[in-house]
Amino acid sequence: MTATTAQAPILRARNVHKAFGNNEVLKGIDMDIAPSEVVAILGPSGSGKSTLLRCINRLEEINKGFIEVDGEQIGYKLQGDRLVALSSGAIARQRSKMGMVFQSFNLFPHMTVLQNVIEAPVGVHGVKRREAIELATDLIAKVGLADKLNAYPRQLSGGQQQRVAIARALAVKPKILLFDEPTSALDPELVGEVLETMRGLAKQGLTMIVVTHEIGFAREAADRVIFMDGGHIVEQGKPEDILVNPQRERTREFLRRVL
Amino acid sequence: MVDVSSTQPLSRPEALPDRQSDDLRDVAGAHRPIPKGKVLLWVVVLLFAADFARAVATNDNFGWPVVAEFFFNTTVLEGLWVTIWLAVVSMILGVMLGLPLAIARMSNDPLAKSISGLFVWFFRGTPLLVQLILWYNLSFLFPQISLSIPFGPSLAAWNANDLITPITAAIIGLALNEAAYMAEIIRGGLLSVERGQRETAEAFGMKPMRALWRVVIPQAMRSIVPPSGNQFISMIKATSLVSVIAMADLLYSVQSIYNRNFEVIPLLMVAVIWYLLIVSVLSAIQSRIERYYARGDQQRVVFDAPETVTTQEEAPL
Repeated sequence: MTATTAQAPILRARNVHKAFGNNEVLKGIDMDIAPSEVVAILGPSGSGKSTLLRCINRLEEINKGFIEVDGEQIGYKLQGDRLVALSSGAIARQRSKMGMVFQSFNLFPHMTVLQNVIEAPVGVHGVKRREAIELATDLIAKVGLADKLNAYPRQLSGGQQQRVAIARALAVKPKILLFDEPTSALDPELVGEVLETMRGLAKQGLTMIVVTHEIGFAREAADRVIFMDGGHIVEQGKPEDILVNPQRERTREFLRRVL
Repeated sequence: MVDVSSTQPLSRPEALPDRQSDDLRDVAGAHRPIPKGKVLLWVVVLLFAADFARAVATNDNFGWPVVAEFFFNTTVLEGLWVTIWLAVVSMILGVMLGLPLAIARMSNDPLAKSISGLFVWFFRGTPLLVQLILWYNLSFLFPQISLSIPFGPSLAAWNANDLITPITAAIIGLALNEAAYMAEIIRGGLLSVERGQRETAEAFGMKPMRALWRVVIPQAMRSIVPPSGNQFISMIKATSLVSVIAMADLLYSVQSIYNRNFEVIPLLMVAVIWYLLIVSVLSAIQSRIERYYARGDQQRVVFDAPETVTTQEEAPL
């Protein structure tokens, strides 16, 4: 079931399969995401949720099925009735529509906070440097780090680094924001500031797919919760249904363990 | 007699009043005796050093006046210049060729990978001196060098004897040899950068070459620069090998002088001092470059100020 909306989905995934050698990680995922929808993907480790996210921006190549973002198939192009693999340049252009926040932040350590945030807008999207700096300064202020513009990532705490990473993802004005366990590498006392930032974004109407272990965030901020296990979507629906009254035994068991 | 309280069992009865003795215990004012053994070692080492310096300075065989006379000799300076530009040009060519070789070696393309591997295998596997002599004598192997379509007609042709002069043989020999070593140094540097960095750059839509140039290489430089500096220093000295193919480098120049005046040692001293001077300058430049590429790593120096620690708790958004 998808969120009931009249708009065309911004992301469509159909029968997505992904295997690493003999290890099949995704076993047929179907998923639609509506514009402005906030989707939290929950599931035990090894359930394939991070892999699904990485397949969406083609950090991993899928083996079967297809993924479409904003009406364009990721990694391929239909020419007549032939499906042709795209060049790395064309894939780069498709990726530039998405922003990604990683579990381990992955800020560029040799660049300052400001340089990190303007790198993709200037280098990939061709935004004028002055405009990029203006937008970046604004975004960095929004994540509460206005005084850290010229700091290097290693001079920041984990929570601050992740907030910069969020600003960096926002700076490309993405159609979809992908979060890959954004709080899993943080000390417990720093999780709150990052979740707070993400809640703010959810309210602004950004399309977000959040792979997370934070049940609280899923409950408060997500429009829909998807529960994955063993490479399948086990069940999905409104957070109040899935988290309070799950239908499947596997979901219940997972929630018992994490709550 | 002062009453000794049970909470301060270490203070002796004759000690000064407590507060004052606590002040004396402040480690900031501690006296640090110099270990006698260390002083002795310093004295012995410095004595030997002074004696050695005296022996060198007073030994007439070094011929210091001759050293001074020839230090700025035109032939020597010309040789010095050849050594420097030969090293610089070969190093630049070596890096320019080494970078694509390193990238090719790390790629998934079997052709690129094996060509690069073969190149490194050959040019690292044979002595530089042999390579130089081979290049110099290339005309014995290929009297005619031509640019042609494989198995097809020739587009342009040169006589190898015209093409291969001492200069071209020296540059080709040094640069190709250097490229093989630089390829391995650069490959090591690229491997040292975390995989996630490249992935992140690509996730943001950077093309592979841009990701490499903007994200991976600047980080790889931290581990590329020290061995490259090392490599450049060996290159400076390796240029002395070109004296065998009659290229007038620093060593060749001093040799040509002492072959006439027989002042072998003083002229070798001239060369030694010049080599050491160049290498010292290079080392200084290298440490500046290293500091530049370490700029993201300076947290201890710049940002340990207390006010930045407290800002961690500030409210986001």
